Order: sequence, then structure tokens, then C-alpha cells
Amino acid sequence: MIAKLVWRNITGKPFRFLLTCSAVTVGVMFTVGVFVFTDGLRSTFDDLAGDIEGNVDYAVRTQLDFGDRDLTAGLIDPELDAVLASVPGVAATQPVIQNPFCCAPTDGNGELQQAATGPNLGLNWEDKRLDSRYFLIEGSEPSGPDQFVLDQDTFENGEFELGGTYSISMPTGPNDYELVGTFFLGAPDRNALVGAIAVAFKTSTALSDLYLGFGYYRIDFELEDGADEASVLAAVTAILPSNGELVTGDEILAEREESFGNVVNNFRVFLLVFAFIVLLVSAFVIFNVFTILIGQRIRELGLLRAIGASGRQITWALIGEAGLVGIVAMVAGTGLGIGLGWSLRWLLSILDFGPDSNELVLTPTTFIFGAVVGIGVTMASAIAPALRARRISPMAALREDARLTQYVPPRTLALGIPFVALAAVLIVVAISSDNWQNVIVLGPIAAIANAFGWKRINAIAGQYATLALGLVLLVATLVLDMGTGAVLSLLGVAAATLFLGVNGVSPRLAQPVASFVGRWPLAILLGIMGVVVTLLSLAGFVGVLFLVGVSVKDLITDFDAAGVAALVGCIALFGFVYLVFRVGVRAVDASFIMGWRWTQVLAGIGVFVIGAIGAIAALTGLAAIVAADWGATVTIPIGAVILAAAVWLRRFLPKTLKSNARMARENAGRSPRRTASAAAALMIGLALVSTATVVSSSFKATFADILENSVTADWFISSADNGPNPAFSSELANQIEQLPQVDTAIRFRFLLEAYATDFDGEVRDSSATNMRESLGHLDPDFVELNEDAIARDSIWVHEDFANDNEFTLGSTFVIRFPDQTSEAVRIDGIYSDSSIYGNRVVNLELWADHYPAGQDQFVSVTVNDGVAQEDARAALSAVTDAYPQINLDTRDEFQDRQSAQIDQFLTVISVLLLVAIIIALLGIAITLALSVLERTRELGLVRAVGMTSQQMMRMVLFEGAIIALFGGVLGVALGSVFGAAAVAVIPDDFIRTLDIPVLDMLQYLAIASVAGIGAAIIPARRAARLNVLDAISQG
Amino acid sequence: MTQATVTTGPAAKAVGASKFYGNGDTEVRALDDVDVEFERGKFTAIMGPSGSGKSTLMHCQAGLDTLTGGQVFIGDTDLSALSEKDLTLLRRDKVGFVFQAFNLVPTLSALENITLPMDLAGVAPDQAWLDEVINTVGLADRMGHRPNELSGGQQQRVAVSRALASRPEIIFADEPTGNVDSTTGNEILAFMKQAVDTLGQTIVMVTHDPGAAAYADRVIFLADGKIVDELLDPSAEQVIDHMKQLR
Repeated sequence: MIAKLVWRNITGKPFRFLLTCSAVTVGVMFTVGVFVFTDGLRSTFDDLAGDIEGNVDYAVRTQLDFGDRDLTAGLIDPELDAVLASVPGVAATQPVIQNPFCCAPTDGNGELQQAATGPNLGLNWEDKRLDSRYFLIEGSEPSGPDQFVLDQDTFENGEFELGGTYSISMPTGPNDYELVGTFFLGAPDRNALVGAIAVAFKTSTALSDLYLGFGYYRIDFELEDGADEASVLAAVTAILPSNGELVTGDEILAEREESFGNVVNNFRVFLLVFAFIVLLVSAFVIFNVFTILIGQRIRELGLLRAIGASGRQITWALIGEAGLVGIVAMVAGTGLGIGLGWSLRWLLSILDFGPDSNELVLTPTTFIFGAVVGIGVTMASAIAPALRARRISPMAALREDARLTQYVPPRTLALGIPFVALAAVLIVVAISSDNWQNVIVLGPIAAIANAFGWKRINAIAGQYATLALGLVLLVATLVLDMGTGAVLSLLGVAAATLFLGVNGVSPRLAQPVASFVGRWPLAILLGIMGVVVTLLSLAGFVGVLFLVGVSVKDLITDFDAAGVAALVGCIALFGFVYLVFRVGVRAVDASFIMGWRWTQVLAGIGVFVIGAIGAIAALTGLAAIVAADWGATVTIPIGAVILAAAVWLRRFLPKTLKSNARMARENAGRSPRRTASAAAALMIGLALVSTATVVSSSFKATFADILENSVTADWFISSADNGPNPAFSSELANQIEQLPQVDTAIRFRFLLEAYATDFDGEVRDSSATNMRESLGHLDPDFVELNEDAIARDSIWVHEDFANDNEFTLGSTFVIRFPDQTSEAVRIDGIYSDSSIYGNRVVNLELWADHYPAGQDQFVSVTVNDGVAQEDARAALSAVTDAYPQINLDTRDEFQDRQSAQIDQFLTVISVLLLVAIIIALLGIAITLALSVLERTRELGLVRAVGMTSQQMMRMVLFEGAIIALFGGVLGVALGSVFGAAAVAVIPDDFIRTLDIPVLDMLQYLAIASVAGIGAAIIPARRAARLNVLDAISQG
Repeated sequence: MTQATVTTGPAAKAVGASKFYGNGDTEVRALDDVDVEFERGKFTAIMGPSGSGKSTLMHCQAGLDTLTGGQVFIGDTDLSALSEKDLTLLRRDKVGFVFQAFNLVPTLSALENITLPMDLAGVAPDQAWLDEVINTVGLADRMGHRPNELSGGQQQRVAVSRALASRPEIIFADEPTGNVDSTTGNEILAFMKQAVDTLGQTIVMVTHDPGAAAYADRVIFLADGKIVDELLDPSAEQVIDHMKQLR
């Protein structure tokens, strides 16, 4: 019977059912898409690992205790090759040289062939292996010192000819080589390079030009048929140098697969964080929708109770309905997610990243996650409203104004106190363990126990308990001394707790905030934003039409999958631009809610702008208080005065149509709980965007601060390569040093795992530079410095490192490099600003002895007095122009470049969060649509007494803007707090200056209100098209 | 609001008004070629059994519903020639409404409900007239309250005030006493009659309560979509007698 009821409910209102499903579906789609995509990537990378490391029997190489083998491993002495070959039973030896951080060739058109998605590989041609992994396609093998072969794909993509001479960017600087052939790597019929670009040289050339003659990466060898494996391997081990090791091909392959796997895994975790956010937002939306639906069906449910259904049956009926929503969402979301994952892979393969074959990798994990997420999230979100429905009395069927009552659990101290105590204990345990996994697992459990416990101790305490816990955790992150991982995850738990806490309290804010923001300035803001958005969309139309034209032309000349995809993308873009256009027009429409004439609107804009300037000034001053920038706080009184002037000017504006806007804001505030839940979803998305904005803006501020206060160099040379190890030939700095205009040039190198300190065995990160010259370039704020003592074995350390280990100026300790050799270093300087060198810096001289093949990552230059900037630029660029992918910047240019990079990162984060924001807007749309349905009779009444359908439309649009702005205000406020907290806990060597960009935040609010218009379009149209007579006779 | 135009014709009239639902065998004639005039400054009641078409007549006459055939006029304006938007403006400026229940917007105060139509039009209410209406209705001290803080009778009186406040050509009342007790109902009806007699307002009321109809200057009886009878200056007993004849 109950099942039948559930079924009828769904089939009776299929549209409403699908609407409910849509929010979960997107969440499931995103999660499943991430899994399918990353599983596919992993399989590709496993294949790649097999292609580039397969087919090796045994190899000798140097031992590596820590660090990245490609970056830091010691090299094998070339002499060993002959010794190894002479061991009885060894059939063939093959020295291996592979440098993944060099060797971009420039083609005949002068275009640098830089690998967009993989490494630029420099290799040696395998001439001795019995069964080579390199397959010559055209031409011949490299046999002379100035010859090279190029991978076939790059040969085809670029402008290359066999026999031509091309410049290649080598560790020794740009060099010319003759192209003699092309090859495939890994397989005879295809390239296994996954977007990498490979060049190969004769082994001796590779040794001298790629590794500067210092040694081989590895020497592979094969055994003679019938040789006794154990005794041959023993003989090989006997001839190995002390830092050498013997490994099997399987071990090498496994290492490579693991290192690729780690990359894919990190990527997956990164994406899953966003999937999790999307799901959190979906949960809010579903919770809200179910609560509203039950509220609307309360009389029907009361009737069921009256004719004998038990409360339990009602609950089960509703949970059953949620289950069906979950199942549909799971099926649809999984299907769409597989499609999403697959298309992403397809897109990548079109972009020449990965092999053309795009097999679909489906693992059971994918489906399990899809099911858990789809059904689990829906059921979990629906359970609270379903339990509340159990308490609907049979009398509800008879009462006009029946409402769902808020559940207040009975006061049970016996249950409450233990739970609160448990929460406290869990938090103390998690924090004192200083382990991020503990924090992530125990934190949420503690939050639930805390809320559960306090609710049973006292109703009001229960309401604020979660918010209070969130604040406590936030404060804990700020004052406690924990590891970075633990403190960041504690911050995450604090943020999630605060979201829930704010959501518990925000219904109290909904009414006052809605009534505060839902006034004429919002209408003016919508008008201005509407005009901007409309103009942007018109420009967008032109752009999209142009793109469509280009892609159609492409398709006509060259019909392929990429072209079709481009055209489909353009058409989708067209739809999006059209949507934006509609939103812009509607925003302008909504701005006329006040019933002002054009001239009055213009005057309103004037007053609004004055007020906005005042508000921005005042807020900027307030933000400066948080950042402890006292000089900037003078803008507070200035802003307040301007704001007061705007308020005074307001009296000259006409009165507004109060009933219209009034009804909009009253409607937004009349179901505070519903408004708060609808806004909460948006709050989460915007809070995260704001957090990212504060962090990145602080990052920029830190950078500007460093450049201004700690850097005295004039020019900066960096690599434009965005790869994992952006570095360039040290030859470049050698040439710079020779220039007559240049005073000094210093080089920087940095490794995350540079050496181990002997006294505690910890692997340390470190920088290296030309210490003596660096004093004229950089000032890390020395506490103590013994300038005269600077020598090869000097080290400068940060004061924390010195204090923690009780070192003073002149202390010595031993550090051990990955090449198994140790050096004693002496502290000749202690500094307090870690943002330049990090925690330690050693002399480049010492460093280069242990990383002989290392390249420079960064060079800074001071020019002689009296050299004009343009003269210096001419001289420097004459050198750098010969090197591809090099940026030559003045101080200002350098700062702009860094800012642009950070902005780029912020854009990526924002785009990923966009999915969550879209779901939140969908939630607002659903909430509004259901509210309109609920208020049909009231809307009919106001239409009957004279509200035009246009006014009705504006009213609902305005309500949408108010709800969205409410969520935006909460989100931006929370995001600023999170951002400030994150900046406080992130180590100072990354970010030390807090900067809250008030303008960006206000911009988010403006965008949120326009987005609210977008969410309200469909409900507003439904409201405007209501049949007046039907509406008033309803009920 | 400017002074209502003083013309001699009726405040509203219907000419050959017809409203059919469905067609063929299932055709229902809610209004069947009705001709009626509502005189200026008079209180007219429309009576009839359920399904007689009395509500349909009122809805069409008020511009809430459209006719299948014929014409309806408010003053000299032919409603069948108006667009949806013009109909809305006509309702806002020239027509007042009192419904049986849910007359007021719950989010607005009593005063805001009264001035709602003028506010939607973007014109300021005539303060002297507004005060007069509010004083007549006797709720001056309740004007700041929300509808849910008012009794059912008070809500209906606010609704009548709203209808009066913009001095419409005509007020349509649909069972205005249907949801209140008889004492309150009598108060409301007396108030409406007073509005007609002393303020010169035109009111058309649909009711099935003979007692309510007795307050009117004239009662029109509808049955099966046609006007079947009419009574001037009726008493409740006369109305009951006529109603009995209709059955």
C-alpha cells in the first residue's frame, strides 16, 4: 500500500520528481566522471611506463635514499660500462641517458616544440641493446656528434625536414644539430609518449650534452643464453661502486608505474575534493526540497494519518520516495559520469595527450561510489524531513495553516553529557595526535556527537553548538602549534562545521538580512549589472559566431573528430551566451521594480555610486584592520562620511513602489528556514571561492611585499615552462655574467628533498645560490651574519631551524646528499624572513658538486650604475633570445607575471567550483518554484487587485536576487574568515601578508545577485503566467 | 486618484453575455445571453442556486474571466476589446474587489493592503479620502497590523476599505460574509451599504444569503445562466420567497 502511494506520488508529478533528481544527478555525474577519467589516465600511464621502462632485464644504477631519481640521483661512472660488459655471462650492456627536463627543438618556422602536456625528453639512441625500444621510422640512426633523431609525431606536427639543421635547447645551451631520422618510442607502430616530445642522440653526444659528461643515468644489461643467473649477478654486484645498486627490469617498471600512479592519484584527490563539495551542496538542496514538499503535502499526509496510517508508515513512504530519487539519480548520474569521464579522455587524446585509442576503464569502485553517493546522499538528506513528517497529527488534514513542527528532542542529560564529553575527548585526541588523517576522521564524528549531545542538554545551546564548535576549531588552528598537514585539515573540518553551524543559525538572519538588502540599491545594482551582463553577452555572441565560422571552415577543409567536437563546443557556448543574455535582460527588467522613471533611475545610480564608493572605502579600511595595516584604516571614517552623504542624498529620490519590493523581501524572509537552506548551498560555493580569492590575493601581496622590501636586484630571468621542473641551462647565466652592463648575476636552485641532516636523519628542502653575490640582490632579514666567513661550506638558516636545533652562528653539522656523500656545513648566517630562501640555503659551489648536472631555476641580475633600463634590456635579451622559453623581466614585469600565474590558478579553482554554484542556483530555482506554487492564491489575489504580470515577474525575480544575495553575503563573510585563517596557518615562506580584496568580494556579491535573477527566471515566468481566476479560486 | 468621472450611464453592463464550457453534448452554458445593467451609486446583489452562473457573471463583468460571446462594459470601456495588460490596469484603477476569504496579502500590513492597488499604480493615495474610509471602517488603530493579527471580520473590513480606497467605478464582492459569523457579517454589510448611500459607491455583490441580499437596493436572480427575476428594495423574506420559486 505504502509502495503504491510512493509510486503514485512520483508518477503524478513527474516533473517535480525529475527536478528533485537533477541536483543529485549532477553530483553523482561529477564523482563518477572523476573516477572514470582518472582510471583511464592511470591505465594510459601504466602502458606508458611499460613502453618507456619495459624490456629491461637488469640494470645497475646509483642508490637513491630520498628525492626524485630523475632530478637528483647520482650518475653512474661511464667507465663502468666497459667493466660491466667484460663480466662473463653478460651479453650486452646499454648505457641509458634520459633527461626529462631539456631538449625542446625549434622547427623550421622558428617555433619551439615545447611539450604541452608531458616532458621534453632528451635520450641516447640505444645502439647496444639486443632488442631496442626505439623504432626508426625514417632516415637513419644518429651516428655523428652533431646529429639527432626526433619522434615521428613531433616531426609531423612541426616544420621539419630530414637533413635540416635545427637548434635544440640543451643543458649546455642552445645547440645546432642535424636531423637524420625519426622514430617511435616503445612500439613499432605508435608513439607511447603521451604528449611528450623526444629527441635522441648518439650515446657519447648525449653523455656530453645532456649530462655534461658526468655519467649515465643507468646501465642496462642482458645475460647470455644459458648463463647462470645467480653467479653472473654476484659477479656484477662485486664490481659495483659503493653507491651502486643492481635492479631488475620489473623493479624499474614497478617504480615508474608507482611514480606515475602517485601523480594520477594526487590529481584524483584534487578532483574528488571538488566532487565532495558538489555533493555537499546537493545534499543541502535535496534536504530543502524534501522539507518543502512534505510541508506542501502536510494536509494529504494528515489525511493518511486520519484514515489510519501510522507515523512509521508515513516516514517509510517518504524515505521510499527519497530512495527512488536516489536510484534514478544514481543510474542517470553514473551513465552521464561515464560519458563525462570518457569525453574528457577523448578531448585529451584529440589534444595529442595520450594514445588515440581511448579504452573505457570501468572499475567496480566507480560503480560502488556512484551508488553510495547517489542513494546515500539522497537518503541522508531526506531522513530528517521524513522523521519530522512522522509527527504530523491527523488533525493536520483539517487545519488550513498546518505547519511542520521543528523537532525538539527531549532533555536527557544522561544522554547529552556523555556525548558532549565524547566530542571533547575526540577533538583533543585528534589535535594532540598532530596527524591529518586523525583530524579528518575524528573531527566530523566529534562535530556530530557535539551537536547531538548539546541538543539533549539544552535546546538553545543545541542550536548554537555546531557554530560554537566550528569557531573553537578555527581558533585552535590559529593558536595551536601543529604540522602543516594537520593544521590545514583541521581548518577544513572547522570550515565544514562552520557551514553547518551557520546553516543552523542563519534562519534567524534570513528575515533581517532580506529586509536590509531587498531595497532600492539592490534594484540599481541589478540594473547596472544587467546592462553589463547584457553587453558582455552581446560581445559574446559576436565571439561565438566568429568561432562557429572558424570551426565550420575547419570542418569543410578537414573533416575530423576534433573539428566536430569544436563545432559542438561552439554551439554549446552559444546556448550559454544566450542564457547569459536572458539573465542580463531580466536583471535590467527586475531593476524597474521600484517603479521609477528613467531620469529617477539615473539619479538613483548617482546616489548608489556615491554610496558604493563610501561602502568600499569603509570596508577596505575594515579589511585593513584584520590585516593589521593600520595606515590604511583612515578610509573607515572617510567611507563613513561618503556613505552618510549618500544616505542624505537618498531623500531627494522619489519614494519606491513599496508594496512590490516589500512583498519580494517579505516573501524572501517569510520562511526563514527555507530561505536559509536555499541560500546555504550558494553560501558554500561562494565561501570557497572567496577563501581561494583571499589566499591568492595574500599570495600576491606577499610577493609584492618581498619584491619591495627584500629584493634589490634589477632583472629576473625565469623559465616560462610550467612543467614540474622549470629550469634552464647554466650557460645562460655564464653569458650574462660576461656582459659589460652587468654587475653581478646570481643563480638559484631549489629541491624539496635536497639533503638529509645527519643529526636527526630528516630529509630537508634547501636552496642554493651564490651566497656572497646574493647580498647585493636579496635581503632575507639577517638576524646574524658573518659576511667574512662565507665559503664553500657555508649555510644560512632560518631562525626557527636554528632555535629548534639549538644552533648558533658558527655551529656546524653534517648533511648527506643523495649521491651518498656527506659534507660538514657551518652556519654563517641566521635570517628571519623565510619567504626568499625557505628554511636553508647553501653555497652553489657545494651544491654543484653533488648535483653536477643541475640547471639553474632562476637568475637575478644587478646592472652597473648608470646603465639605462632599455640598454640593459637590449644587452640581456641578446643573450636570452637564444634560449627558448625564457622570461626576462624587470621588477614590475616580474610581479605582473607572478600575479597572472596566481590568477590563472584561481580561475581553475573557480571553474571547478562553478559546478557547485550551478547546483546551488538550481536549488534556489526549485525552492522559488515550489514557493510560487505554494503562494498561488496570494499571487492570484494581487493580480486580481491590479498587479500586472510584468510587476509579478519583477517581484519573483527580485526575491530570487535577495535569496542569492543572502547566500552571497554569508558566503563571502565566511570565505573571508576562512581565507584569513588559512593565510595565518600557511607557513610564512609561502604567504605572510594578509590581503582581503574587498572589491573582488563585492564583485562576487553583485554576480551572486544577478545569478539569483537567473535562478528565478523560470519560477518568475510561471508566476507571471498564472491564470488569475484559477489562482484565486484555488483551495 | 482623480474624482470618478460623473457620467450618466450605468457603472457597468453586460450585453448578450455568454460563456460556454466544453462543446457538443458536454457543453455547459454558464452564461446564456445575459443583458444586465448595474446602476451608478446602487448596491446590487446577484443571487441564484449553485451553478446558476452568478460567479461567472461577476468574474466576466470584473475582467477576471473572458466571455465566449457578447460584451461587458465598465463605464464606457468594452472589456472584450482589452488586452490582458489593459484588463489588469482596468482592475487596478477602476474596479474594487472583496473576496470571500484570503483577501489580504499576509506579508503586508492592513494599511499597505488598503493602498496596494494605488501603490502598484505608482500614485499616492488621496490622504483625506483614505482617512475617511479608514475612520468609517473603524480600524484606525489596527492599520499597522498584519492580517494574521486581525480577526476574520476585521480582515473583511480591511478588504472593503481597500476596494473603496481608490474610488473605483465599481466594487465586486464575492460572498463577502461567507466566512464570518452573522454579527460580523451584518457589520460588514452595513458598512458596504453605508459606502453606497453616503459615499456614492457602486457595489455588485454575489451571495446566496438572503439576509445579505436584503441589504441591497436591487437583487438579480440567476438560474441556468439566465436572469430569471429581479427585486427592488427587497426584504429578506421576499428574497427567500423568490429563491423558493427558483427551485
